[in-house]
Amino acid sequence: MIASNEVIGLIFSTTVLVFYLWNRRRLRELPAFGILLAAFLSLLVGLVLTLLESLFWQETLNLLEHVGYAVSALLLTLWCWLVFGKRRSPS
Amino acid sequence: MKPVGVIDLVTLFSLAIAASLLILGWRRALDSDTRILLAGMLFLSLFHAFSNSLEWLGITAALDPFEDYVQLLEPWLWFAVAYSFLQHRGRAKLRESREQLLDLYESAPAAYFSVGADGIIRRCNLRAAEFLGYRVEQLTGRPVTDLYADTPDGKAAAASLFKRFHAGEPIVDQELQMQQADGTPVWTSLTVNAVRNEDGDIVESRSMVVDITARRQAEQEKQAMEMHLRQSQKLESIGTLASGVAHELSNPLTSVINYGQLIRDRVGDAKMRDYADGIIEEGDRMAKIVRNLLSFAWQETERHSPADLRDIVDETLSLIGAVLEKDQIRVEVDIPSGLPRTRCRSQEIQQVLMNLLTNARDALNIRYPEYDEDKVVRITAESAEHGAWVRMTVEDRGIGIPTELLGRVFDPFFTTKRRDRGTGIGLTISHGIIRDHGGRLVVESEPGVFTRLIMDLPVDASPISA
Repeated sequence: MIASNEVIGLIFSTTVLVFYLWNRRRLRELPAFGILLAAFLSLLVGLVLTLLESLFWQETLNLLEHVGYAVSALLLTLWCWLVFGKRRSPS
Repeated sequence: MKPVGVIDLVTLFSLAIAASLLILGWRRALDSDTRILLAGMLFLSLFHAFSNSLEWLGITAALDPFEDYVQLLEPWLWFAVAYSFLQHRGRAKLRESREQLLDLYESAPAAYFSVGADGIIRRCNLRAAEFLGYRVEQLTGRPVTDLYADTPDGKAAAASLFKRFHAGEPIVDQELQMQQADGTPVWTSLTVNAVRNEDGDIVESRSMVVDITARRQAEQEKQAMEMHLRQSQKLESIGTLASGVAHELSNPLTSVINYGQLIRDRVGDAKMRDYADGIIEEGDRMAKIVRNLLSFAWQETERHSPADLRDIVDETLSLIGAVLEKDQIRVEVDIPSGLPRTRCRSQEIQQVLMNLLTNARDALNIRYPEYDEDKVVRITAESAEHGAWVRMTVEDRGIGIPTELLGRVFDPFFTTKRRDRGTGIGLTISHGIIRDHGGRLVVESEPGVFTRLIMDLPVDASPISA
């Protein structure tokens, strides 16, 4: 069964994605923006799969959903390492 | 444990590391607002992952009721991080742009003033303050008219200009005289724009002031040079004409004098002899004028040689000193011993000096018929213009020359003396001699106060022979 909060969460996330893509030129000034965007896309994939698993291939899609979250977390960690892990002058 | 549980644990640990990196490198990147939002985002993700892990570990998730809210909040925190970053970048760029504009305004080559409708300076840039020798805070709040020189081209012209400006006339590149804090007048070019309110009334004026003192000086020097050139050309053409006329007069004059002498020698009547003497005397006088004219016009063949101005002055005073002494005129000579020599024809410079001293004597005798302690002629010499010239000055405190006649003193036959006292070509000849030496002769005078003739001669650059 599809949960309403999951649908709303997906709509919110899609809106945020549109915002990211719309402002991608300015957001490129953010250090390693590509990795951050990839992390967000992975999170979005996880959210989409959350919805889809209610419809079919529950176990497989559930696994993939969690893989999406994990990839998102790993990319976010990489981004944090690149941005905060190295010594640099504050931007 | 199921694979999903392992994946969730990976997610949890990964996010924990990300949060640690953020905390450890807190000040290394991004602005504080964005960092706080990022921390919030990581906290929600951690919460989400922690909640998932509890479920797969078989622990009843006590956090489930909150997870729905977390799921809704999480995307907005991603949005907030990006939005905050963009805002911060926007503000930083605005600040940078403002600093650049401020730098451009402050260190512009022109001085800028914003003046209220009441004529009080509201703002000005650093250049304005530096240019006028004030500090910025000394200029702010001051009436703008205070900055103009107390001259017809200063305050008076500015007042008239501002009146026209308030009547709607534009002010573009108007040249006015301002004055610096120490009172030094400076020439400026002024351009003013009006700032108007909705009713069209001027509420502020924005002025751009450019220092044109150097340009004005260059223009004045150019004008002086042009005047000098015109004078030289005029003298040259008159010289040619005079030489022709003098040449034509020379032979008939000789005849007149000869005939005069014949009459004087052959006539017995004493009165007739007196008349003949008169003819000879006036003829000699005319012949002298003719010789002077020819001397002025001819190219001299005498060679230039190094000479000491002190020697020239001494020789001249040996000729004219007695006459000056008789008229109770004191001569003061101030010539430093180490003065460079000049390359000249000594006789000609002596002739010039003789002319100048004779003129000084006449001027002093008119002003002081008897003895006076101010009945003095001063002869001074000095090295000028970084040693390129030797400058000799002959100054008297006689009657002076009226300002309107100053431009004509070198004109041939121009004289203010009685007919029997001067022919009006002494200074013309002197000017020609100095010009031929590559020098210059300048006159300065204030009627009733002084007359100063300044003679510049080039320094002898040849090595001194043993």
